[in-house]
Amino acid sequence: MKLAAQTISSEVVDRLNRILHRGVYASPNEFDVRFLKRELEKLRDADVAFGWALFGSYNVLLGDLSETERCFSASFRLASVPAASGNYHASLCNLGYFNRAHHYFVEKGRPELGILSHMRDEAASTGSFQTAVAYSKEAESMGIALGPELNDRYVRAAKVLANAGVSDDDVTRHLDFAGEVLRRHKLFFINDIQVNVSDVDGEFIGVTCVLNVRKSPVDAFELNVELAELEQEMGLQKNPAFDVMFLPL
Amino acid sequence: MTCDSASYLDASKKIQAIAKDEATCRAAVSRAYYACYHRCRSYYAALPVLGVIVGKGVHEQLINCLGNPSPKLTTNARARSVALGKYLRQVCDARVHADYAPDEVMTSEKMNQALATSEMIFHQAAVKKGPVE
Repeated sequence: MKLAAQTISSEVVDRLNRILHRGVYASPNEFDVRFLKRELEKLRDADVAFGWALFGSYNVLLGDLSETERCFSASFRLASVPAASGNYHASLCNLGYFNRAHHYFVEKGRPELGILSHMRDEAASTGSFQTAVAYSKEAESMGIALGPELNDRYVRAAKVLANAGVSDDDVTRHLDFAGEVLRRHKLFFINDIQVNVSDVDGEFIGVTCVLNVRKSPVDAFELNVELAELEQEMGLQKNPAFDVMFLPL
Repeated sequence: MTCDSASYLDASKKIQAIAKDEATCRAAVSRAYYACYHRCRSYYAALPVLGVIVGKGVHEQLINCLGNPSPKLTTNARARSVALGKYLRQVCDARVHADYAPDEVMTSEKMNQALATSEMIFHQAAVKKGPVE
Protein backbone atom coordinates (compact mmCIF):
# COMPACT_ATOMS: atom_id res chain seq x y z
CA MET A 1 0.00 0.00 0.00
CA LYS A 2 1.56 3.28 -1.12
CA LEU A 3 2.42 6.11 1.22
CA ALA A 4 1.20 9.64 0.71
CA ALA A 5 3.68 12.44 0.11
CA GLN A 6 3.87 16.13 0.87
CA THR A 7 5.33 18.27 -1.92
CA ILE A 8 8.90 18.57 -0.60
CA SER A 9 9.14 14.90 0.17
CA SER A 10 7.76 13.32 -2.99
CA GLU A 11 11.13 12.01 -4.24
CA VAL A 12 11.91 10.45 -0.89
CA VAL A 13 8.44 8.91 -0.68
CA ASP A 14 8.87 7.51 -4.21
CA ARG A 15 12.10 5.91 -3.02
CA LEU A 16 10.35 4.48 0.05
CA ASN A 17 7.55 3.10 -2.11
CA ARG A 18 10.00 1.54 -4.57
CA ILE A 19 11.72 -0.38 -1.78
CA LEU A 20 8.36 -1.39 -0.30
CA HIS A 21 7.27 -2.61 -3.73
CA ARG A 22 10.05 -5.21 -3.73
CA GLY A 23 7.78 -7.12 -1.38
CA VAL A 24 10.42 -8.24 1.11
CA TYR A 25 11.89 -6.67 4.24
CA ALA A 26 14.94 -4.51 3.53
CA SER A 27 18.26 -4.53 5.33
CA PRO A 28 19.65 -1.27 6.79
CA ASN A 29 23.00 -2.16 5.20
CA GLU A 30 21.76 -2.05 1.62
CA PHE A 31 23.06 0.85 -0.45
CA ASP A 32 19.53 2.03 -1.42
CA VAL A 33 18.35 1.90 2.16
CA ARG A 34 21.37 3.79 3.55
CA PHE A 35 20.94 6.43 0.84
CA LEU A 36 17.26 6.73 1.71
CA LYS A 37 18.09 7.14 5.40
CA ARG A 38 20.50 10.01 4.62
CA GLU A 39 17.83 11.71 2.50
CA LEU A 40 15.31 11.28 5.29
CA GLU A 41 17.69 12.88 7.78
CA LYS A 42 18.00 15.93 5.52
CA LEU A 43 14.25 16.08 5.09
CA ARG A 44 13.66 15.82 8.84
CA ASP A 45 15.86 18.91 9.32
CA ALA A 46 13.54 20.83 6.99
CA ASP A 47 10.20 19.45 8.22
CA VAL A 48 10.61 17.83 11.61
CA ALA A 49 7.08 16.49 12.14
CA PHE A 50 6.60 14.96 8.70
CA GLY A 51 10.27 13.88 8.69
CA TRP A 52 9.72 11.78 11.82
CA ALA A 53 6.63 10.28 10.24
CA LEU A 54 8.63 9.28 7.18
CA PHE A 55 11.24 7.74 9.48
CA GLY A 56 8.35 5.68 10.80
CA SER A 57 7.63 4.50 7.27
CA TYR A 58 11.35 3.82 6.78
CA ASN A 59 11.27 1.46 9.76
CA VAL A 60 8.36 -0.39 8.16
CA LEU A 61 10.78 -1.35 5.37
CA LEU A 62 12.93 -3.05 8.01
CA GLY A 63 9.89 -4.76 9.55
CA ASP A 64 10.47 -2.96 12.84
CA LEU A 65 7.12 -2.15 14.51
CA SER A 66 8.50 -0.67 17.74
CA GLU A 67 10.74 1.84 15.87
CA THR A 68 7.85 2.63 13.54
CA GLU A 69 5.64 3.40 16.54
CA ARG A 70 8.38 5.49 18.21
CA CYS A 71 8.94 7.64 15.10
CA PHE A 72 5.25 8.26 14.45
CA SER A 73 4.73 9.12 18.14
CA ALA A 74 7.53 11.70 17.85
CA SER A 75 5.85 13.13 14.77
CA PHE A 76 2.39 13.31 16.36
CA ARG A 77 3.80 15.03 19.47
CA LEU A 78 5.24 17.78 17.27
CA ALA A 79 2.33 18.50 14.97
CA SER A 80 -0.80 17.07 13.47
CA VAL A 81 0.08 16.39 9.83
CA PRO A 82 -2.87 14.76 8.03
CA ALA A 83 -0.62 12.91 5.56
CA ALA A 84 1.34 11.50 8.52
CA SER A 85 -1.85 10.04 10.00
CA GLY A 86 -2.60 8.40 6.67
CA ASN A 87 0.94 7.04 6.51
CA TYR A 88 0.70 5.67 10.05
CA HIS A 89 -2.43 3.78 9.04
CA ALA A 90 -0.70 2.51 5.89
CA SER A 91 2.37 1.51 7.94
CA LEU A 92 0.32 -0.63 10.31
CA CYS A 93 -1.28 -2.34 7.31
CA ASN A 94 2.04 -2.84 5.56
CA LEU A 95 3.30 -4.58 8.69
CA GLY A 96 0.16 -6.75 8.75
CA TYR A 97 -1.60 -5.18 11.76
CA PHE A 98 -4.91 -4.57 10.04
CA ASN A 99 -7.09 -4.63 13.14
CA ARG A 100 -4.97 -1.98 14.86
CA ALA A 101 -5.12 0.09 11.68
CA HIS A 102 -8.89 -0.31 11.62
CA HIS A 103 -9.25 0.92 15.20
CA TYR A 104 -6.95 3.84 14.43
CA PHE A 105 -9.23 4.74 11.51
CA VAL A 106 -12.36 4.39 13.67
CA GLU A 107 -10.86 6.86 16.14
CA LYS A 108 -9.02 9.33 13.91
CA GLY A 109 -11.08 9.13 10.74
CA ARG A 110 -14.24 10.59 12.23
CA PRO A 111 -15.42 13.29 9.78
CA GLU A 112 -15.39 16.09 12.35
CA LEU A 113 -11.64 15.61 12.91
CA GLY A 114 -10.87 16.72 9.35
CA ILE A 115 -8.48 14.03 8.12
CA LEU A 116 -10.97 11.52 6.76
CA SER A 117 -10.03 12.29 3.15
CA HIS A 118 -6.40 11.31 3.92
CA MET A 119 -7.38 7.90 5.25
CA ARG A 120 -10.74 6.81 3.89
CA ASP A 121 -9.78 5.07 0.64
CA GLU A 122 -6.81 3.28 2.21
CA ALA A 123 -8.92 2.21 5.18
CA ALA A 124 -11.66 0.93 2.88
CA SER A 125 -9.11 -1.05 0.87
CA THR A 126 -7.78 -2.72 4.02
CA GLY A 127 -11.03 -4.00 5.48
CA SER A 128 -12.73 -0.98 7.11
CA PHE A 129 -15.49 -1.18 4.49
CA GLN A 130 -18.53 -0.42 6.63
CA THR A 131 -16.82 2.30 8.66
CA ALA A 132 -15.61 4.01 5.48
CA VAL A 133 -19.15 3.98 4.06
CA ALA A 134 -20.66 5.22 7.35
CA TYR A 135 -18.09 8.01 7.73
CA SER A 136 -18.59 9.06 4.09
CA LYS A 137 -22.34 9.39 4.69
CA GLU A 138 -21.73 11.34 7.90
CA ALA A 139 -19.31 13.67 6.11
CA GLU A 140 -21.84 14.24 3.34
CA SER A 141 -24.55 15.11 5.83
CA MET A 142 -22.13 17.54 7.49
CA GLY A 143 -21.33 19.16 4.12
CA ILE A 144 -17.69 18.00 4.19
CA ALA A 145 -16.19 17.46 0.71
CA LEU A 146 -14.10 14.29 0.45
CA GLY A 147 -13.17 14.37 -3.22
CA PRO A 148 -14.11 11.45 -5.50
CA GLU A 149 -16.80 9.10 -4.24
CA LEU A 150 -15.77 5.93 -2.45
CA ASN A 151 -15.06 3.13 -4.93
CA ASP A 152 -18.26 1.22 -5.62
CA ARG A 153 -16.48 -2.09 -4.96
CA TYR A 154 -15.96 -1.11 -1.31
CA VAL A 155 -19.56 0.05 -1.00
CA ARG A 156 -20.77 -3.31 -2.34
CA ALA A 157 -18.37 -5.17 -0.03
CA ALA A 158 -19.78 -3.23 2.94
CA LYS A 159 -23.31 -4.18 1.94
CA VAL A 160 -22.60 -7.89 1.40
CA LEU A 161 -20.72 -8.16 4.69
CA ALA A 162 -23.31 -6.20 6.68
CA ASN A 163 -26.04 -8.51 5.34
CA ALA A 164 -23.97 -11.53 6.37
CA GLY A 165 -23.33 -10.14 9.86
CA VAL A 166 -19.58 -9.72 9.31
CA SER A 167 -18.18 -6.55 10.90
CA ASP A 168 -15.05 -4.57 9.97
CA ASP A 169 -13.59 -5.88 13.21
CA ASP A 170 -14.15 -9.49 12.01
CA VAL A 171 -12.65 -8.69 8.60
CA THR A 172 -9.53 -7.02 9.95
CA ARG A 173 -8.97 -9.72 12.59
CA HIS A 174 -9.03 -12.26 9.78
CA LEU A 175 -6.63 -10.11 7.75
CA ASP A 176 -4.33 -10.08 10.78
CA PHE A 177 -3.77 -13.82 10.31
CA ALA A 178 -2.50 -13.10 6.81
CA GLY A 179 -0.36 -10.33 8.35
CA GLU A 180 1.13 -12.85 10.77
CA VAL A 181 2.05 -15.19 7.89
CA LEU A 182 3.63 -12.28 5.99
CA ARG A 183 5.72 -11.30 9.03
CA ARG A 184 6.94 -14.87 9.52
CA HIS A 185 8.31 -14.76 5.98
CA LYS A 186 9.45 -11.10 6.15
CA LEU A 187 7.15 -10.22 3.25
CA PHE A 188 5.00 -7.26 2.30
CA PHE A 189 1.89 -7.54 0.19
CA ILE A 190 2.23 -5.70 -3.13
CA ASN A 191 -0.05 -2.89 -4.32
CA ASP A 192 -3.50 -2.48 -2.81
CA ILE A 193 -5.41 -5.46 -1.50
CA GLN A 194 -7.57 -6.86 -4.31
CA VAL A 195 -11.15 -6.82 -3.00
CA ASN A 196 -13.38 -9.22 -4.93
CA VAL A 197 -17.11 -8.89 -4.40
CA SER A 198 -19.69 -11.35 -5.73
CA ASP A 199 -23.33 -10.73 -5.02
CA VAL A 200 -25.26 -12.90 -7.46
CA ASP A 201 -27.86 -14.85 -5.53
CA GLY A 202 -27.81 -18.56 -6.32
CA GLU A 203 -24.28 -18.35 -7.76
CA PHE A 204 -21.99 -16.92 -5.13
CA ILE A 205 -22.26 -14.20 -2.52
CA GLY A 206 -19.12 -13.16 -0.72
CA VAL A 207 -16.14 -10.85 -0.38
CA THR A 208 -12.55 -12.03 -0.78
CA CYS A 209 -9.47 -10.00 0.09
CA VAL A 210 -6.53 -11.07 -2.06
CA LEU A 211 -3.03 -10.08 -0.95
CA ASN A 212 -0.54 -10.23 -3.80
CA VAL A 213 2.92 -11.47 -2.90
CA ARG A 214 6.18 -11.82 -4.78
CA LYS A 215 6.37 -15.59 -4.61
CA SER A 216 6.24 -18.42 -7.10
CA PRO A 217 2.78 -19.97 -7.64
CA VAL A 218 3.73 -23.02 -5.56
CA ASP A 219 5.21 -20.95 -2.72
CA ALA A 220 2.13 -18.71 -2.72
CA PHE A 221 -0.07 -21.79 -2.39
CA GLU A 222 2.03 -22.93 0.57
CA LEU A 223 1.50 -19.50 2.19
CA ASN A 224 -2.25 -20.18 1.88
CA VAL A 225 -1.80 -23.58 3.52
CA GLU A 226 0.07 -21.85 6.36
CA LEU A 227 -2.68 -19.26 6.62
CA ALA A 228 -5.30 -22.03 6.76
CA GLU A 229 -3.33 -23.78 9.53
CA LEU A 230 -3.14 -20.55 11.50
CA GLU A 231 -6.87 -19.91 11.06
CA GLN A 232 -7.58 -23.38 12.46
CA GLU A 233 -5.01 -23.13 15.24
CA MET A 234 -6.50 -19.84 16.41
CA GLY A 235 -10.06 -21.21 16.21
CA LEU A 236 -11.25 -18.65 13.66
CA GLN A 237 -15.02 -18.95 13.17
CA LYS A 238 -15.25 -18.32 9.46
CA ASN A 239 -18.31 -16.80 7.89
CA PRO A 240 -18.76 -18.07 4.28
CA ALA A 241 -19.28 -14.47 3.20
CA PHE A 242 -15.66 -13.53 3.80
CA ASP A 243 -12.20 -14.94 3.19
CA VAL A 244 -8.59 -13.88 2.82
CA MET A 245 -5.94 -15.35 0.54
CA PHE A 246 -2.55 -14.81 -1.08
CA LEU A 247 -1.87 -14.90 -4.79
CA PRO A 248 1.46 -14.58 -6.59
CA LEU A 249 1.97 -11.33 -8.47
CA MET B 1 -17.50 -38.92 -17.73
CA THR B 2 -17.08 -38.15 -21.43
CA CYS B 3 -15.52 -34.75 -20.74
CA ASP B 4 -13.22 -34.63 -17.74
CA SER B 5 -12.08 -31.56 -15.82
CA ALA B 6 -8.74 -31.44 -17.66
CA SER B 7 -10.59 -31.15 -20.97
CA TYR B 8 -12.44 -28.10 -19.66
CA LEU B 9 -9.11 -26.53 -18.66
CA ASP B 10 -7.58 -27.32 -22.07
CA ALA B 11 -10.55 -25.67 -23.74
CA SER B 12 -10.13 -22.66 -21.47
CA LYS B 13 -6.43 -22.33 -22.39
CA LYS B 14 -7.27 -22.55 -26.10
CA ILE B 15 -9.76 -19.72 -25.67
CA GLN B 16 -7.19 -17.76 -23.63
CA ALA B 17 -4.67 -18.10 -26.47
CA ILE B 18 -7.02 -16.42 -28.97
CA ALA B 19 -8.62 -13.97 -26.53
CA LYS B 20 -8.39 -10.51 -28.09
CA ASP B 21 -11.66 -9.06 -26.85
CA GLU B 22 -13.51 -8.96 -23.57
CA ALA B 23 -16.17 -11.50 -24.47
CA THR B 24 -13.50 -14.10 -25.25
CA CYS B 25 -11.64 -13.33 -22.02
CA ARG B 26 -14.90 -13.91 -20.18
CA ALA B 27 -15.44 -17.23 -21.98
CA ALA B 28 -11.94 -18.41 -20.98
CA VAL B 29 -12.58 -17.54 -17.32
CA SER B 30 -15.95 -19.26 -17.34
CA ARG B 31 -14.54 -22.54 -18.77
CA ALA B 32 -11.62 -22.38 -16.33
CA TYR B 33 -13.99 -22.14 -13.40
CA TYR B 34 -15.94 -25.23 -14.46
CA ALA B 35 -12.66 -27.11 -14.88
CA CYS B 36 -11.79 -26.16 -11.29
CA TYR B 37 -15.27 -26.93 -10.01
CA HIS B 38 -15.17 -30.50 -11.35
CA ARG B 39 -11.55 -31.03 -10.25
CA CYS B 40 -12.31 -29.82 -6.71
CA ARG B 41 -15.51 -31.83 -6.52
CA SER B 42 -13.53 -35.01 -7.28
CA TYR B 43 -10.88 -33.98 -4.74
CA TYR B 44 -13.49 -33.36 -2.08
CA ALA B 45 -15.36 -36.62 -2.80
CA ALA B 46 -12.09 -38.52 -2.41
CA LEU B 47 -11.41 -37.18 1.10
CA PRO B 48 -11.78 -39.97 3.67
CA VAL B 49 -14.21 -37.94 5.80
CA LEU B 50 -16.56 -35.29 4.44
CA GLY B 51 -17.63 -32.07 6.14
CA VAL B 52 -21.06 -30.53 6.60
CA ILE B 53 -22.75 -29.00 3.53
CA VAL B 54 -23.58 -25.32 4.05
CA GLY B 55 -24.78 -22.66 1.62
CA LYS B 56 -27.08 -22.12 -1.32
CA GLY B 57 -26.29 -23.70 -4.68
CA VAL B 58 -23.63 -26.24 -5.63
CA HIS B 59 -20.86 -23.68 -6.13
CA GLU B 60 -21.18 -22.02 -2.75
CA GLN B 61 -21.61 -25.43 -1.12
CA LEU B 62 -18.41 -26.86 -2.61
CA ILE B 63 -16.40 -23.75 -1.63
CA ASN B 64 -17.79 -23.99 1.91
CA CYS B 65 -17.16 -27.75 2.13
CA LEU B 66 -13.51 -27.26 1.13
CA GLY B 67 -13.22 -24.30 3.50
CA ASN B 68 -14.71 -26.18 6.45
CA PRO B 69 -13.36 -29.72 6.20
CA SER B 70 -14.13 -32.41 8.75
CA PRO B 71 -12.11 -32.05 11.97
CA LYS B 72 -11.42 -35.77 11.69
CA LEU B 73 -8.93 -35.15 8.87
CA THR B 74 -5.24 -34.58 9.65
CA THR B 75 -4.10 -30.99 10.22
CA ASN B 76 -2.27 -30.98 6.88
CA ALA B 77 -5.22 -32.42 4.94
CA ARG B 78 -7.54 -29.85 6.50
CA ALA B 79 -5.19 -26.95 5.74
CA ARG B 80 -4.78 -28.06 2.11
CA SER B 81 -8.52 -28.37 1.69
CA VAL B 82 -9.04 -24.87 3.11
CA ALA B 83 -6.32 -23.45 0.83
CA LEU B 84 -7.99 -25.08 -2.18
CA GLY B 85 -11.31 -23.61 -1.07
CA LYS B 86 -9.71 -20.15 -1.13
CA TYR B 87 -8.43 -20.75 -4.67
CA LEU B 88 -11.77 -22.09 -5.91
CA ARG B 89 -13.49 -19.08 -4.35
CA GLN B 90 -11.16 -16.78 -6.27
CA VAL B 91 -11.88 -18.43 -9.63
CA CYS B 92 -15.61 -18.60 -8.83
CA ASP B 93 -15.56 -14.89 -8.14
CA ALA B 94 -13.85 -14.26 -11.49
CA ARG B 95 -16.46 -16.45 -13.19
CA VAL B 96 -19.38 -14.58 -11.58
CA HIS B 97 -17.73 -11.38 -12.81
CA ALA B 98 -17.24 -12.89 -16.28
CA ASP B 99 -20.81 -14.14 -16.64
CA TYR B 100 -22.93 -11.73 -14.60
CA ALA B 101 -21.19 -8.36 -14.60
CA PRO B 102 -20.98 -7.16 -18.20
CA ASP B 103 -20.69 -3.56 -16.99
CA GLU B 104 -17.54 -4.29 -14.99
CA VAL B 105 -14.39 -4.44 -17.13
CA MET B 106 -12.81 -7.87 -17.57
CA THR B 107 -9.15 -7.33 -18.36
CA SER B 108 -6.77 -9.85 -19.88
CA GLU B 109 -4.82 -9.57 -16.59
CA LYS B 110 -7.85 -10.77 -14.67
CA MET B 111 -8.31 -13.62 -17.16
CA ASN B 112 -4.63 -14.59 -16.83
CA GLN B 113 -4.87 -14.50 -13.04
CA ALA B 114 -7.93 -16.77 -13.12
CA LEU B 115 -6.17 -19.20 -15.45
CA ALA B 116 -2.99 -19.22 -13.35
CA THR B 117 -5.08 -19.87 -10.22
CA SER B 118 -6.86 -22.68 -12.06
CA GLU B 119 -3.53 -24.28 -12.99
CA MET B 120 -2.56 -24.24 -9.33
CA ILE B 121 -5.87 -25.84 -8.36
CA PHE B 122 -5.20 -28.62 -10.86
CA HIS B 123 -1.71 -29.10 -9.50
CA GLN B 124 -2.82 -29.22 -5.87
CA ALA B 125 -6.13 -31.02 -6.22
CA ALA B 126 -4.84 -34.13 -7.94
CA VAL B 127 -6.72 -37.05 -6.38
CA LYS B 128 -4.14 -39.18 -4.60
CA LYS B 129 -4.01 -42.88 -5.13
CA GLY B 130 -2.74 -45.03 -2.29
CA PRO B 131 -2.71 -44.18 1.44
CA VAL B 132 -4.99 -41.31 2.33
CA GLU B 133 -4.57 -38.73 5.08
